[in-house]
Amino acid sequence: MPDTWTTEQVLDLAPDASSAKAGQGLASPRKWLSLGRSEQAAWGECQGSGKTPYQTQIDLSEPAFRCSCPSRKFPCKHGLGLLLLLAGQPASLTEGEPPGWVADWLASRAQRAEKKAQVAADKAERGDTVADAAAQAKRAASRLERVTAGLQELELWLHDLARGGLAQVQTQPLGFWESPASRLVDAQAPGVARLVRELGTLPASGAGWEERLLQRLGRLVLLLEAFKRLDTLSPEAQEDVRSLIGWTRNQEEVLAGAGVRDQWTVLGQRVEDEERVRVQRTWLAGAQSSRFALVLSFAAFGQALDPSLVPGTAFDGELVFYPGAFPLRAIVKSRYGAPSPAGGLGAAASLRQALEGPATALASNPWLEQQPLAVAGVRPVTSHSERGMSWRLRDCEDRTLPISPRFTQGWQLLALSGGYPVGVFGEWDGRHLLPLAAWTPTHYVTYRSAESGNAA
Amino acid sequence: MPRELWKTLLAQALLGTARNSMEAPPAGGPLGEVLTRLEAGDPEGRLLKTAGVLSLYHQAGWEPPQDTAALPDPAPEDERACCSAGAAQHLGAILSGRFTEVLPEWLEAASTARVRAPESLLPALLDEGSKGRWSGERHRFLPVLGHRGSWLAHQNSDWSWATPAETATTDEEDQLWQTGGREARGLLLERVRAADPERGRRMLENTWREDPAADRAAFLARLQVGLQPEDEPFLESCLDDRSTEVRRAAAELLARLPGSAYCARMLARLEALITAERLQEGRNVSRLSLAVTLPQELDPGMKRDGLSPNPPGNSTVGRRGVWLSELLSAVPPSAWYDRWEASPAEIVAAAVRTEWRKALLDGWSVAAQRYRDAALAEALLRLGMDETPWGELLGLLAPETAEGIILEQLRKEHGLFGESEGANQVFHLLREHRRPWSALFTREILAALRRNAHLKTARSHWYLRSELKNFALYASPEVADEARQGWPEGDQNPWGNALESFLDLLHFRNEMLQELSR
Repeated sequence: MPDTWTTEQVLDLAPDASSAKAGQGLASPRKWLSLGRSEQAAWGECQGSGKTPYQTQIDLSEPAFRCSCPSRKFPCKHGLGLLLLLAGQPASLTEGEPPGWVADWLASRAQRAEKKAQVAADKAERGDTVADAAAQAKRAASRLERVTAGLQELELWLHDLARGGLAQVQTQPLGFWESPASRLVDAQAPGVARLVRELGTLPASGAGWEERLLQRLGRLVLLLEAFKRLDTLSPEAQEDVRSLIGWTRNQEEVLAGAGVRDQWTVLGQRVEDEERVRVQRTWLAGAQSSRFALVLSFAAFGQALDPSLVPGTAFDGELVFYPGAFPLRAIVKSRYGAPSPAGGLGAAASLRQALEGPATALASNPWLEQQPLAVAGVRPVTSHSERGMSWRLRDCEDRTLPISPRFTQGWQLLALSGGYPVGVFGEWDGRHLLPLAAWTPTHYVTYRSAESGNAA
Repeated sequence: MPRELWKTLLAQALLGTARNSMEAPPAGGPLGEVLTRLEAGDPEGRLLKTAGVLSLYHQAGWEPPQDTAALPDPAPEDERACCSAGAAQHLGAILSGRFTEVLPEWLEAASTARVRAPESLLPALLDEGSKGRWSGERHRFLPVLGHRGSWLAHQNSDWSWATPAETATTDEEDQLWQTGGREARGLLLERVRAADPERGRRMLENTWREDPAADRAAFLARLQVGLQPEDEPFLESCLDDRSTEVRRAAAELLARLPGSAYCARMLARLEALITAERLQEGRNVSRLSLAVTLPQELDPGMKRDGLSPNPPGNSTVGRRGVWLSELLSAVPPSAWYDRWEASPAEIVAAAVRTEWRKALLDGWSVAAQRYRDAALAEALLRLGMDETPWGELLGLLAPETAEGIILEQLRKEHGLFGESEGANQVFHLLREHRRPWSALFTREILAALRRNAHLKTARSHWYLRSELKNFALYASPEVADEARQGWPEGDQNPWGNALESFLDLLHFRNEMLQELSR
């Protein structure tokens, strides 16, 4: 069994800082009455404040956690402590057959997975004939009508803006953007509402805001234009436009599509706090298909995000992509076997080469915002200006790429590099790269940047 | 040109199409083709759509700019291996704020095991080391930071204290001595002194005229490392320095050079003040007796030699008493043993019988520390005077001796810690004994603590409860497991969480040290 887990990976699973700290407190063999592991699972009994010890178990194939403690945090501190022990002191877990309570749980998990697959298969076979097709068509038609009206209204509003001039917006209150945005929500176009809200943050974003605002306005108007001509677009482009506007795809429907089986490396992860919901963006790359994939997981605040994709690991599995002209978003359909440490990555050898990917993608889907970018042989460098210190990546051709000011771990990246070239993976938004992972021949390190003020 | 076009668009967009209808310059090539395909419509629509297409054109075709500025050389390879994953986990826990106080022990153990901290924790370790609380411990960080850590520190001025590399060349060291910050230079000076005291002093002498007084005093104090008779002429010249701090630092060092002219001057002054005689008490039994007079006033020579012209007003021995102590503290205690043919214990006993016992014992306490005189320290400790500097004197003794003195005191107090902090000498001794405890000693102390915990009044022993966490820093981790046994359980536990943290910390240290000794 390879030594898959690193302390950093485990701590990244913690739902908040206090859980991480409590988990570290439990990462000591003496806190446990028993500790064991098998190929598939790890388990332990931890003496809590009550009489009966808590039974903690981890299905290592994903990982999935279960604990008999009353905590609503997920994974709880016991689960984290147990996994930290596996990472730091693997010898403290006795190799053996899982005891009854672990074996039962593993069996029930396997059963549930089978059932789920069965249900999905059944559904796919039956097609979606059960629902009232007529009522559904009626609902769809009425939504299309409302969206069309909402976008027309937005277009008029944007034209007014252009007529009056962008110089005026800096003095406008936030409500200036909020009212068209909320009208778009009412018009069932939440995706466009989000784009309008984001426009509202630009006037206060510092030097060069006018250019950024004009760029985004231009893209938005192109989206409205594309919607007007939706019928003339390819089916894939139609999907892109619809999903940008706010139509969602049923997951089961997507899962019914053809999958791509590959050795998928989990490159990096990022959690963003949006209104009322946390979004976890996990980037994968396929070894043979050499394509990127983005898996999203949503959770209400305080709820657990999907912990099963661990950056720095790789797994043999099947992914199904959402349709689109440049498909990136995907769902994990099935996994075969336990994850292994991430191996070599087919990253671009220079920045110019790495940027060809986003350029090609943009030609297929001009509204892509964050794009995956992996580049090898770069060195992090600092530069100082009157606005403070910033970080850049410099490649073998001495070309440089600016690192996002939101990236808080520049020194960690520099420590990893030591002045030698490293590989970096991150999200490229056309202006900055937000590094999510970096690697040397011996290490794979993931980075999390603090998002908004919501970090615990 | 696309650039021109974009500028025109931006100007137009800022002013608004209502006030401005500039003709946009035409674009050729594939871009022009796409732009002509945009539907003609109102000027607003045309402006925004053109901006959309153009921004895409720019983004897709953007080329990363070139920068050929020289980069720092990469970090040299570290000879030391990175510590184990388990040890890294412990360090991570320490740096995240759990048990920060054991950081020096982790550093020490890692140093002994010849391993270094993992790259990922270097920034956090450097940040932690920059905190004021570690200013006296920085030398412990360096070997564990390794070349990679020093390399990193070179690029962040907050971390300049960590720049001296373990194996810098002489040239690099001279360079750093010329250009480094006070902290980095001080560390460098200590390191050079440890290896080659002559060279260290010459480095200091070379920049002596340029360095500001505060730096000179700080650097001079570092000469304590590798202090040797050859330093005397330089130190003697420093007694005439303009700065009081420099003069004080020089006197402090001269008082640690047994054969120096400085010590001889002090001894000569004392010989005029103290006379000893042996009184016969029965057959073959004699007693040392001291006759003491205090210095009348400070002459210029005494001032030059660093005696305080205005001793602190709260002194219980008076200014003349302070002068006597200061004189005594600068003379090696062994000088008295020879002169008076007496043992340290006899001298201390004789001092107690004089009117100026306090001044004498104060002076000898400092002399014992300066000359690392364990026998004198032991005699002073056994006397058990309240104002004895327990910690400093205990630190001079062999660990077994120090522990023996504490256990002896514990037995005198019936194996218990007293009801209150005040009348509780064993507690004071123990609190000041800031060195690793032996397993045997730990067991004895734990037994006493348990006896206290079982007392009805244990809950009111707040002073013990608040000291438990510090005890866990020195108690022997060997006994971590058995330490859990024998305490009052549940509601009966008088010290609650404090006891739990004590046991936790002890266990953490035990696991930490085992991990680093593998």
